[in-house]
Amino acid sequence: MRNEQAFHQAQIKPHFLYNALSSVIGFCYTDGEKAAELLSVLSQYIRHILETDRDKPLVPLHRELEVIEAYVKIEQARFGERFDFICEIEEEAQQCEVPSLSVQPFVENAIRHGLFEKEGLGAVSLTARIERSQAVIVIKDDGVGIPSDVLRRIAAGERSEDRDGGIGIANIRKRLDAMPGAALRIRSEPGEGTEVSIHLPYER
Amino acid sequence: MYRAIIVEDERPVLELMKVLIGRNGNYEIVGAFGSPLQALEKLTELDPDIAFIDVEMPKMSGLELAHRIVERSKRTAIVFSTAYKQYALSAFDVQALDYILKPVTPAAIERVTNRLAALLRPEPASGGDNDGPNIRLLGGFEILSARGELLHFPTRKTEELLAYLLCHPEKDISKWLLTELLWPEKTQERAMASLHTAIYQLKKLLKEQALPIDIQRTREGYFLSLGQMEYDFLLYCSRESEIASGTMTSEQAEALRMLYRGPLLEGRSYIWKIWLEEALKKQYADLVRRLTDENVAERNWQSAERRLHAFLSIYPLDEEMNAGLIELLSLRGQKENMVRHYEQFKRRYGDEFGCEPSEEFMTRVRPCLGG
Repeated sequence: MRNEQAFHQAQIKPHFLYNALSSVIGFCYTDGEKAAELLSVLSQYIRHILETDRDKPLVPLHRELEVIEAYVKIEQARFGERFDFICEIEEEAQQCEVPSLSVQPFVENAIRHGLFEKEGLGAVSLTARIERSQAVIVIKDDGVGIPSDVLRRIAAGERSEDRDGGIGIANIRKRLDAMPGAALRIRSEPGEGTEVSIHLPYER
Repeated sequence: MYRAIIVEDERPVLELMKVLIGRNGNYEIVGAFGSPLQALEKLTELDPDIAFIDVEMPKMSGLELAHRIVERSKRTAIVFSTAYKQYALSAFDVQALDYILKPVTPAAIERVTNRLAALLRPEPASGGDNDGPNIRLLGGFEILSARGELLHFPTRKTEELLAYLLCHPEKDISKWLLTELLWPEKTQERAMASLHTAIYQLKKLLKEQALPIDIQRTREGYFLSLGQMEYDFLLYCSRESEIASGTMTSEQAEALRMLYRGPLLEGRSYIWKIWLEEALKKQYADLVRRLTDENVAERNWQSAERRLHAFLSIYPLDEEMNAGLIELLSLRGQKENMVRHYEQFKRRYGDEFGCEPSEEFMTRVRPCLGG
């Protein structure tokens, strides 16, 4: 029971909330409509996180996308035109089952670590397609990339220290490992970008 | 007014900082930057008293910017803003004045202002002797130790507790009342524990700073004994009846008037101070009225004007005193000044309250303007 609570709490990132709320409060003075819109999106985001059903570890991709979209909207409100988010999901792939909150953290990393440190405009793309009997989800960014020693540690499945206490990549890898036919691959080139691809078994 | 710059890369948060710092009223925002580099470019030109810096900016982090600022301009105070509590607690290896947590609140800016004021204050020029302990409740809340050092309180509650006791000295104050006042949200048990801790901290502080006042424990609560200590609030209270009946001498009245540097506990948002503040304001107004009436009777225009201006610098929208000033200017034949002051007052009144000044005011000033 306590483990579950910890899991829950770990998913709500206080840092993200405080920053999102700061933005909203700022907009209250300059653009009330925007502030209202953001609060709406923020509550959707929180609802998703809080209502993740413990008994259903898998969710359809379109649900995962809702959380991702809410998250991206908030980050874009904060950072304005600093990054583009391109999302292309094949119709069929929308129904594919994925472990809940296994894709969102990668989008978050792409924005926070990849693009945040970069000068100038950046782009994150999220694509999902069906290839034979697999669903392939790819998160790509043209940010600063992951240093090779960190990459090695991630590949080795070591618990990476996410200072915000969120779901580490190691946790996602573990859940994917528990799914037969699932795979996670991370490629990165410092200064050029990072590409994360998740392969999942898919039955039509 | 302190010259402030803000460095924050998120646009809505930058706007928020501008609004909150602007509304505090103690700052002139001389620069608001979306990037550390922009801020550094203008730094020497602007020479700010204080820099509000977001710690979590990409590329040149806020900390690095702070280092560069301190290198170039030692006197600029640094305040970091951060969403991370951990950041705040860990040692900033820059001598930061303060840190504020995001989302930033008006209360946080107020706290920063108090610290900045304490930092930048020149040798305190108190009414009496410069060395030795001094307590001021009017126009702020300042206590100077026996060595002339400004007192720093460990927490806001201990500060509020002492302020309350100083406003109710030489009286047995119920500990239940104090817990209700200061920790209304806590359970009785927790609140009582907090009270005991706060009292302990205060007693320690008073002793360390060699202040001649003492907090004593009574059966039902606590008692602040003052000994020989005098301070502005105390003097106003003890002379209350004399002020009302007008039995004090002009010299005494003037001395008392000069003690009024501003509203009671200005800058502190204590709910309990409100009626005390009102009462003191009324006493001050009575003093000013009496003294200016005397001045006018003696045809000492300059004195009267000076006293009215002093009052208006604290309470600019007080109708009675504004009317008094207008009458005075009219008496002196200074038509232009009078009209200008009237127009200015009307405008500011309208901006603040969204309506015209009262009928009483108009009745007084109409004869002056009509002529």
